[in-house]
Amino acid sequence: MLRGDFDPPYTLQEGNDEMKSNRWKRNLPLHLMIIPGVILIFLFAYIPMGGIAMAFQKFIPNRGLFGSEWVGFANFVYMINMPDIYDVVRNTVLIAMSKIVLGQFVAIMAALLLNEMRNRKVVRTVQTLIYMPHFLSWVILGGILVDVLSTNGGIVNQLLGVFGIEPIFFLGSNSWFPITLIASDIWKEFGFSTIIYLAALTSINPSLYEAAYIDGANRWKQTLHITLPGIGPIVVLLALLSLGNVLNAGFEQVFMLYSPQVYRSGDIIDTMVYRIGFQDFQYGVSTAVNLFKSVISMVLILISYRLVYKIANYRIF
Amino acid sequence: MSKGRRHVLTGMVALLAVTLTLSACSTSNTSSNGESVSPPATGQNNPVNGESSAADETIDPLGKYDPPIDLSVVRSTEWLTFDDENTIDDNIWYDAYLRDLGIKVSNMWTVPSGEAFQSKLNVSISSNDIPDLLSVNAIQLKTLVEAGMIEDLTEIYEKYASEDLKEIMGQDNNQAIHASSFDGKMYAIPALTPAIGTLKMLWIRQDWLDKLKLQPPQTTEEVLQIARAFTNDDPDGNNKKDTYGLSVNKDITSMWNAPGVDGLFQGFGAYPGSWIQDSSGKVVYGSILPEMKPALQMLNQMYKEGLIDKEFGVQDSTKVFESLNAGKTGMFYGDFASPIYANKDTILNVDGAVWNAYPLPSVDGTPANAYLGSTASSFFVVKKGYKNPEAAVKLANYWVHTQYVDVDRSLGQNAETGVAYYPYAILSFSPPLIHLTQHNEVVKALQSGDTSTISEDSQIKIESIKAYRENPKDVGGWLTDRIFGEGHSAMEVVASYLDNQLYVNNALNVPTTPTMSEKMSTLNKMEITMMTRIIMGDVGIEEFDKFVQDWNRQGGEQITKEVNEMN
Amino acid sequence: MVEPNSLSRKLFHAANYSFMIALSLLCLLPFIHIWAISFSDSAAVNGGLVKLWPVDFNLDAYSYILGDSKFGSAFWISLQRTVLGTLINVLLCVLVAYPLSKESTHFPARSVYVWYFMMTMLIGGGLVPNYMAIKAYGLIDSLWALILPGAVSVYFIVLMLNFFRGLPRELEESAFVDGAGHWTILFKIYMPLSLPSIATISLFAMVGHWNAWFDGLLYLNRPENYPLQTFLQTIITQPDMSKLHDVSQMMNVTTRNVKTAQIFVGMLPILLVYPFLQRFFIKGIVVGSVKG
Repeated sequence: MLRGDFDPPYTLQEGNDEMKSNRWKRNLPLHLMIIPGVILIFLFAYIPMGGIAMAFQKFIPNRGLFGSEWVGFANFVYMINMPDIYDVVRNTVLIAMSKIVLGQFVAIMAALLLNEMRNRKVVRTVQTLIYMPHFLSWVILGGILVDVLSTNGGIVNQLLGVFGIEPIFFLGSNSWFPITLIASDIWKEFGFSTIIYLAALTSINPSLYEAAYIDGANRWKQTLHITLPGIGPIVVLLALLSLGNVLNAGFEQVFMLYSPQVYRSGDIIDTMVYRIGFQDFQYGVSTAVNLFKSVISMVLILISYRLVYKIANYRIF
Repeated sequence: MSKGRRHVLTGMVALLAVTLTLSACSTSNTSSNGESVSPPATGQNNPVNGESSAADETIDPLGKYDPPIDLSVVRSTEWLTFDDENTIDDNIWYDAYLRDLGIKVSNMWTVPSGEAFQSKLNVSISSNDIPDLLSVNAIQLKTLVEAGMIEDLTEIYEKYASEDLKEIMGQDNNQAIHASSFDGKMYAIPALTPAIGTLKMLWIRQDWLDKLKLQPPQTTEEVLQIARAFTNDDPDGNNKKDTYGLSVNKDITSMWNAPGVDGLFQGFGAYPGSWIQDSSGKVVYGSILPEMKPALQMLNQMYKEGLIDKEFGVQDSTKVFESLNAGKTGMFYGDFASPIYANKDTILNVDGAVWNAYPLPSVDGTPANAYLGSTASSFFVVKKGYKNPEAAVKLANYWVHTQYVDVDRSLGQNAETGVAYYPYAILSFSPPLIHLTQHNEVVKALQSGDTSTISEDSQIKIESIKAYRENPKDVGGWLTDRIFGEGHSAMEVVASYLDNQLYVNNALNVPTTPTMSEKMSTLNKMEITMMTRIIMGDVGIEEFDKFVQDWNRQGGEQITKEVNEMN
Repeated sequence: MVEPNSLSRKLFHAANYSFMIALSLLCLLPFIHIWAISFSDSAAVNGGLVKLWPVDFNLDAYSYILGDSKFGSAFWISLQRTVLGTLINVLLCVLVAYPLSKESTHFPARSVYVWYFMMTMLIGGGLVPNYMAIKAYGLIDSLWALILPGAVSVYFIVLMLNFFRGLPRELEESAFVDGAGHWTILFKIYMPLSLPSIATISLFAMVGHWNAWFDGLLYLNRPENYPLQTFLQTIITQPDMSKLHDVSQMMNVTTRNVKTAQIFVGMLPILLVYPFLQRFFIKGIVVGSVKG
């Protein structure tokens, strides 16, 4: 059973010097274990991180980071002054947040439902199948979706017609386009999170269920009181980690599916930056945008981390 | 890379014809041929043509380096085919460069696809990791010039370019050289491209016209009527109303490929997305001119009547081509190479399908002027600090020499296997007249039956067309026939444009301007949104006037000003 | 475990199974569609005529891909990269997650380390700085350029450390009492108990390595060194006619049947490995081995 991180009373008495040096000796392996990771991260993450300086420069390749002119926040100001920036940011946040929240919800439901199934063969097959859409690229899916969602013979609208619903122009209407984006992306990616939740579910101690059953709890109550709290930490964890993506509404997907008709509701930060790149070859602007996104995610993650700690006394990491 | 750019066509411009027509149409502020280009703006009266000082006397445009020098390049092997004796690293051209010019070429990296090439090139440029000689597009060129990463080739070109090279380069009135220059200094050797790829024409299902007993259209009104007939009169004879009149995709216009309906606009004298000269000689942006209005209204009419797919706004070109190839749409605006990438599968999927190419119908029936794009879409540049920048010019000289002056067939292609060798060359540009000449040769030979005097390539084309005539499902032969053959082929239309000077040239000679870099993407977004909404009837035609105001206010006016200053 | 066999339970199961199976079918359908395309003739594909069954069945698309001499070597390179990469990923993940899963009172340096790793998840240098770094380390054109940069995945580490925290502390304490050190605890006790999470992470690492193609394009200078996905992505030729001289060359434009065949060829190995890993997700792996 997963537990939160409390500060329990210790079985050993800590505090005196002998204990401290013992602890050092005991913890040495921990440092040794972590060192390779530290070195690799330094080389491959921290060194390149210096590149964010480009966001504040008019970067000239042959002058490099140390020779290019510093322009302060000019790149950021440029982005903020783009005429549709308000729409674009709003779209990005709405679409990204919906994908994160609804996506997790769907994944949890799927994991719970799968967990109820007894037939192992069916479970395994379903598990494989729902993960498969992850392998499709939006280049291919784009073409498929245009067909499937067409108002003129598309399957979905035909189905709706059976129920007497008028054809909906999923890809061409500003009201439906974001919904289409969210729904298709969740369908494509929920398999990933479902697997993680399932793995978490399998580590819940079965004896807990037996005890509950003996106490007279039905399956629903068991789910409520054992399963959900059992995966609670993982849910919070995944939600928090995905906050890092709060401004990534899915460039490849939007790019393949969007069109001038739905710019108003579908244009996101990354597609706008992409179009700018055709007129102006400059990594400064895209670096600035990425830095901006990182800062926002960082702030959100930090706030959530503290919130979760204060409320549930649980440290995510 | 945008889909439009991918379809930039190559290789077959009647440069000579272009020269004639351009010198007739263009204004007088460019010199008439390369040979008397004035010396670099140093003020020195440096005699460059022929008379040289004692030290320069021995400059040989094809002089060999001894000992050999190294030259690193990057390559894309897309479209290249190899055989047992040739790989991209070790082939007949690289051997020739070493043997004849003393230049040892090595590939810094290679990729198999053009898109990959652009990605990797961008990263190379941004990380200051470029080879000695590379081929870049206009935006990359500007970046490299501003960063000071490439050599100024002005003097070098003057000194080392052979007369033949200068002549070819000058045939478009030096437009390409102008596009390669900044502040009067030449920074690149342009890869001359055929602008005829941008010439639009109307492709129609002739069998549908015949079935419905209609004549090919000469006016835009007739296009509308034909579209109606194609949509409503069951041209495919299956008793279902499942056909459309005209193809349109979500980009609406596209300078380089189908199914952009630029041709429809051009029939009204409108040139969306292009910079042209107006009657006063000023360079203006075509999308804001009043001629756009009737064109948009016609498209709106077609949308209302269901003559174009109501979902065009979400369809990309691939989707639209599907409709063509399934025999569901009867007309589209394309170019001379459209049979290859757009509708070649129609003859396989639909029995009896016949596609004919026609010149653009105009609003009043007089011949329309098609838009002719820029002659230079890529540029060869030399890394700054490379010890022998003139090597680039020598490579260009060599190409001209072995392909046109003193033709070395062994470098062209393998006579037996047909594997093409000339693409291995690193600095090359499109063979000029060849395809138009071939078309003329082919037609003459088909009519007279006499193939003795025509070139080898043309003979191959004749065989191909004959094969198609025997077997209507032979796609390769069909392509050749529809492009080069007779009977409303694409080249016939091109020839009619060229011969009769039915052109409007591209008037933009600079890759970009400061405000253009900043604001053009926003303006483009405004433009496409406006066009889509008008066509779909979400707003009325008054929206166009509002667009023009907004366009000007939000940077368009400033950009126009800058273009005219910098051009 | 005994379960009540009530009617509502039966109904629930019926509904559950139907729903999940329907959902799976929904996920499967697009694959059937593109599978049909991959076996169809390009003309039919270009006409949009293929739905759920091949039209004019032919193997052109597959022979184009598999027949390319570079296919075999690309496959082998991908195999190497994936196996090596996954092993290193998982190993490093476990090695870093274990210390980080300890409490700060027991392991004070932990907080510093945690922030050190977390920062990298929040901020990245971008494409060009990464390229410059790899180049500076001399890894261009080497298989290690595909393995080392992503070798430490903070995402996996956070997942793993949470799983470790879920294991009863008594395990560690009783091991100390028995004289074991951290190395023993990690490899002999914790890891066997964390098989579901290790399997999960291995699967994701494997998929990540197998599917990655852009890093291959960026860091490798020769197509002969490409891993499979990079190879597959780049055999697709687009009609970039500015480089073209002869019209007849264009007959070789790649169409969608090749693009879809590419998906299957790329996907197949993963789908074959997946069932094996599934066994580790099974409920009831030994938990609670602590004697009271």
